[in-house]
Amino acid sequence: MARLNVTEVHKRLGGNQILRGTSFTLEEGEIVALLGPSGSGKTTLLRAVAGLDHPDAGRIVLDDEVLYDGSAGIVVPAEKRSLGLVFQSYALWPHKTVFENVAYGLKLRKVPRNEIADRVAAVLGQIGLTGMADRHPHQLSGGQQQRVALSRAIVYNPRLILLDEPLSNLDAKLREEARVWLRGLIQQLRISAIMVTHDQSEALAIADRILLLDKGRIEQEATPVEIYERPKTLFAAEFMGANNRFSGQVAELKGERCRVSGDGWELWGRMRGDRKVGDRAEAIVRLEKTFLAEGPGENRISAKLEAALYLGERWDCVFQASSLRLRLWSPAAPADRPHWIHVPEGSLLVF
Amino acid sequence: MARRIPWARLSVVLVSAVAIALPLVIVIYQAFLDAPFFQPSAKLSLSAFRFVFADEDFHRAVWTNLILAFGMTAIAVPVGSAMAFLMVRTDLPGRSWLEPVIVIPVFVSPMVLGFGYIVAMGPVGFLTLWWQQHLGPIPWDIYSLKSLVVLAGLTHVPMVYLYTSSALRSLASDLEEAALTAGAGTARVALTISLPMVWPAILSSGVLTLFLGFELFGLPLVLGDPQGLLVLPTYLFKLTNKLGVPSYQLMAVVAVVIIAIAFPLVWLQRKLMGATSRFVSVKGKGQASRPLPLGRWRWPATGLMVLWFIPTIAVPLAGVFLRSVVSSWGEGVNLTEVLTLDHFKELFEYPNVVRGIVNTIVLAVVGGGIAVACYAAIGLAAHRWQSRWAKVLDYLVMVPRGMPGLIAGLAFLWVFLFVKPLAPLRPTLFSLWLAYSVVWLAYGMRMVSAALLQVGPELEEAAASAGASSGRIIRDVTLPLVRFGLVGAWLLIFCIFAREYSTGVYLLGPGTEVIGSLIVSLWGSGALDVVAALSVVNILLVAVGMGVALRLGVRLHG
Ligand SMILES: Nc1ncnc2c1ncn2[C@@H]1O[C@H](COP(=O)(O)OP(=O)(O)O)[C@@H](O)[C@H]1O
Ligand SMILES: [Mg+2]
Repeated sequence: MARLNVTEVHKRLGGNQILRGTSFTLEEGEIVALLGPSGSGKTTLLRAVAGLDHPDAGRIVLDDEVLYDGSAGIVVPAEKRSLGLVFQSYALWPHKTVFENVAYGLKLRKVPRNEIADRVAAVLGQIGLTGMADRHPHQLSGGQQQRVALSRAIVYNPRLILLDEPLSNLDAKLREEARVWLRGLIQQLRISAIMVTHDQSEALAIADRILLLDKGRIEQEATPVEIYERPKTLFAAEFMGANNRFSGQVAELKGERCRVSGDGWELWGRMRGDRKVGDRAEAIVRLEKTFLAEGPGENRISAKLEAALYLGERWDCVFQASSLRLRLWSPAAPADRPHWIHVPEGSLLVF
Repeated sequence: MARRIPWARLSVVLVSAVAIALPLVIVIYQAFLDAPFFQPSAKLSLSAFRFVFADEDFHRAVWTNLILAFGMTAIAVPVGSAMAFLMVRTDLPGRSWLEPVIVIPVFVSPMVLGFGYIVAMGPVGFLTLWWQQHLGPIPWDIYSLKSLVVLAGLTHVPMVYLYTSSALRSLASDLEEAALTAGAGTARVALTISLPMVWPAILSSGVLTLFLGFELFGLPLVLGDPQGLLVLPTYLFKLTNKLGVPSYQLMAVVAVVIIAIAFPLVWLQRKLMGATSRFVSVKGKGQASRPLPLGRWRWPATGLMVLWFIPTIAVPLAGVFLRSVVSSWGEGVNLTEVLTLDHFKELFEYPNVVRGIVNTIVLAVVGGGIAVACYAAIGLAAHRWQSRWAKVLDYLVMVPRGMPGLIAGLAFLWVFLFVKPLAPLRPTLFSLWLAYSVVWLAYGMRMVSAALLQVGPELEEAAASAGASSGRIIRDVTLPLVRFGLVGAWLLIFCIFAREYSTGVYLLGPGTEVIGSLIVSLWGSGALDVVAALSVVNILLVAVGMGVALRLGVRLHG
C-alpha cells in the first residue's frame, strides 16, 4: 500500500486549467521528483498535497487519511497535515533566529522546552549548522539558509517532506554538492519525499522515481535510468538530455526496428511510438550517443563542420548535412574536412 | 473535515459595517424628516430639501464652493506634480530634508494655518504692516475669494505631491535615461516621459483635491467669514445660528448634498488609483534610479520650491508663533518690547483648555493606538481571504472618505443621541475616538494594507505547513513582520488625531474638548491670545509625532 495516493486531481487558476487529472503514488521511504518545464503545474501539484491550495476535484490520501476529496467535500487544512515543506525561496522568518525558525514546529506541537533544545541542536548538527543557532536568516549564506529551511521542515518528523525547487537558488557548484548531500540526508532519515524541479540532472541524481509533468499531466513515471534511456513519448525524450532531432518518414518497420528517412539521409532506429510505414515521424538521439566516424557505413551521415565551441572538457560541434543540422560532443577539435557521423541504431528513438 | 466558517473575519466585517453605515444612515434619514429626529412629531417629508434648495445663501455657497474646489485643484495639481518630479527625479539641492517640510501642511490644522494667514497677512498683520512700511500698499486682500482659492491651492500641493511622487518613485529610471540618450533635456523628459507615465496618479490626486475642496472647513471659516463668503461646510456650520433652533433636518440636507458630491469623486479616485498601479507596473528594470541633472534649471527649480514654501508654510507658521509671544502689535510697536509668555500661562486659567490639551494627548496616543489596532484587525480580517466578503470590506473602508470630518462628527453626535444604549458614552472621549477612527479609516487602512502587502505569502504558508492555525500564524509571523509598519501607522495617526479639528466641532462639550475643536470655538468667541498659544501647542504636539516618525524612518508617502 502506497503512503501517498494522489488521484485525478484537477485545478483551475485564473481561467487556466493547470492540473488536468494528475495521479501518482509515493511509496514508503521513496524520493519522487516532479520534473517538468516551467509552468507545467509542479508547484501547483505540490501545494495541493501540502494543503496550501485546494484542488477543484480529485482525491489525496496519505496513510489511510483522506486529506482531500473533492466529491466528499473533505479538506484537511495545511496545518493539520503534518507535512514538511521547503519553499523555493526558503521562506525563513526574518524576525526569528535560526533556532527559533527550526524550533517553531516543535513549539506548536507542545514539545517540552528542553526537548526542543535537544532536538533542534541534533538536527542542526546533522545538517552541518552547529553554532549558527543564534543567527538571523540574513546573516547566513544561501546554502546555509537552504539547510535551515530543510531543518525546519524535518525537525518534527513530518509524515512526508515536500521540496519545491530546493536547490535552484544555489550557485552551480554548490548545487552539485547539495544533490549528493540532500539524497544522502533524506535516505538517512528514512522519510518519503516529493521534490519539485525543472532541472533534469537534479531529478536524475536525487530521485528514486521521476514523474515527468507536462501541461498538468503526467507524461511518464519511471526510474531515472528508465526515463532517460527508454522515454515513452517525444516530449519525454526531448525534455531529458541534449538531443539531435530529425524529422522524416517511416520507410520500413521490422518489429521494433524501423528505418526513417528524410531528404538525403536514412537511419535505422527503435520505434517507440505507434507510427506505421509512410507516417511522418520524429527521430531523437542524445548528443552523447552521436559520434564521429572514420568513414561511410550503416547509420552514418556525411556532414560538414560548421562550428566548434571549446567547452573545456569537450568540444561542442555543429555539423551541417544536406538538410540536417547535427550537434555532437567531441573530445578533440575536429579537423576541417568532410566527416561521417554515426548514430547507433539502439540509440535512435523514433516517435 | 469540511471547510469552516470564518467567524472571526465575519464579525470584523459586521462591526466595521455597523460603525461605518450607522452615521451615514442616520444623516440620510434625518434629511428626509421635517423636524429633528428626537421630536415625536417628526414625519417623513421633503420639506427640508425644499427649504435648503430655495435658500439664496445655499446657492451662493454652492457656487463659491465650485469655484474654490476647481480653483484650488488648478493650482495644486501643476505645482504638486512639478515638485514631485523635482524631488524624486532630479538632483535638486536639499532634496533629502525638503520632503518632511513639504508635507507640513498635511499635518497642521487648516484652522491654525488660516489663523496664521490672518495674523500675518490680514489688514493689520505683521507682514502687512512691514510691507506697508517698506514697500507701499499691499497687493493682496486676505479676505477675498481669490486669496482663499490661492491659499487652499497652495496648502493642497502636498496631497498631489504625495500621490505623484510615490508613483514616480516606482518608475524605473532607464525609461528616462533612454529619452536622455535620445537627446531630450531634463525638462523635456519630465513633460514627455515621466509625468505622462504617472498621469493616472496625477489625475487621481486631482480628483482627491477636488473632493477635498468640498470638505474644506477651517480655511473658509477663518478667511471667508468676515466678508460673508460661505462654502457648503461653513454654510452647514452657520445654519444653527441662522434659525436659532437646532435645525437638524436642514443640516442633514446639506450633509447629504456634500456626501452626494463626494462619493462619486471618491469612487472615481479609487478607479484611477487602480489604473495607476497597472500603469506603473509596466516598468523597465527596477534598478536604483539616478537623478536627472537639472543643469541651468537648478536655480529656477529651487526658486519654485521657495516660492511655494514662503507663503504656504513660512508666513502662517511664523505669524502664529509671533502672535503667541507678543502682547500687542500694530503700527509703530517695536515687537522686541512686547514679547511675553503670558498667553501660554493664560492657557492654564481655563479648565476646559487644560482638559482639551490632556484629551488631545490621550486621544492621539491611546486612541490612535487603539484605532491602529482596529485598522490592523480589519486588515488582517481581509488578509489572504479568498471571499467576496474581503471585497465588501475593501469597499466598506472607502466609504468614510466621502464623509468630511465635520459631517461625521455631526452624524456621530446623532448616533449617540439616537441609539439609547450609547447615550451615556456621548460626553466621553469614546464618542470622539469612534468618530475620529471612522473618519480616518481609509487613510489608516492604506498604511496597514501597505504593511501587510510586504509580507510574503510563503512566510505564512511555511508556518501553516509547520502546523500553525490561522490565529497562530497571525501572532507568530504576520504581526511581528508588520510591527514596524504598525508603529509607523500609529505615529502618523497620532499626528492626524492631534491635528484633527472638524470632527470634534459638534461633539465638543464638557469632557470632550480637544485642541482642534477648541480653536474653532475660541476663534468664534474672539479669544485670539488663547487661540495663538493653543495653536502653537498644537503645532508642537504634531511636530513631536512627526519628529519621532522621521527618526524611526517612517515613510510619509504611500
Ligand atoms: N494564482 C494563479 N493564477 C493564475 N495562474 C496561475 C496562478 N499560479 C500559477 N498560475 C499558472 O499556473 C501554471 C503552473 O504554475 P506552477 O505550478 O507554478 O508551475 P511550475 O511550478 O511547474 O513552474 C503557470 O502557467 C502559472 O502561470
Ligand atoms: Mg514552481
